[in-house]
Amino acid sequence: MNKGVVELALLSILRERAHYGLEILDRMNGEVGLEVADGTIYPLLHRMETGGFITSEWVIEPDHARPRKYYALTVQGRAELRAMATEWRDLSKRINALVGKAGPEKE
Amino acid sequence: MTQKEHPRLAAYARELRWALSALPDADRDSIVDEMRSHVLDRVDAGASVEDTLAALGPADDYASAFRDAYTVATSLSSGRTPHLLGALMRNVANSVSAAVAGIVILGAWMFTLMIGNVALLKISDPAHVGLWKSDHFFFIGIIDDPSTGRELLGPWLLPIALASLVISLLLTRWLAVWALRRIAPRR
Repeated sequence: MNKGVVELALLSILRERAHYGLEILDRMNGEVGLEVADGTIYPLLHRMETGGFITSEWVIEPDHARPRKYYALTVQGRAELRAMATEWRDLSKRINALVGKAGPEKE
Repeated sequence: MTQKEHPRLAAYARELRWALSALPDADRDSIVDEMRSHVLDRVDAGASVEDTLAALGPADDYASAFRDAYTVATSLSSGRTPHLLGALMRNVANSVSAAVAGIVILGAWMFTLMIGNVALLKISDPAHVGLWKSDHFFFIGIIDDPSTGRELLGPWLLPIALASLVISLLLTRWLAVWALRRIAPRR
């Protein structure tokens, strides 16, 4: 698993709104199909927070019995997301061009 | 909540807290509370405590990722070479940058150790120690018969050894910071 892809997915998910860890994990695995392990997401969130890309806050929701730790993007995180997204688009374009040149695989 | 807590969850939380003892209290509490919140949310969704904890992995393995990140961050902020080197060595097995830096640092110190030893020998026996060259050999060290070769460094051996020591110290620090910054996201 490319660590950069997981970080890009994480920052992209948080661009919309704040999420809690399990919510992020389920979206990564469900929507994106990244197969991120349960034991991987929280250290990653901790590392990204230490790096200043995201911030966290314990929130007590009215419809939930226990507090949850919500993560949100910082200004630095938004800048990092823009840089990573540009890099991702460039790479995707080059890969698509390469795959296009190869043409359909013959059986 | 504590009274009703599942015994496996309580045990895992205790193990995790112990494994995170190097971290500041606030960080440790937050990590344990978040793990507990994760498990209880999964249980609410129908999973078992045992399966959820198994998915997180053994408490010590789970904690190691937090510990490694903390070690890298604190060594970078302290800026002290022994701390930087210690953090680098702990990451050699799981980072290409750390492995490359570790190999280069090891090579630099092996060279420094070798030339340092020869420089010390040169002080006690200047006639037989040095960088020797002839048509048949080229080596650094002790020669039995100095008339069979030509010594190339002369009195420069000691300054070169000192320069190698300084360069190795600077290289160690620079490479450790370089590798650790590649491991940890920067502010």
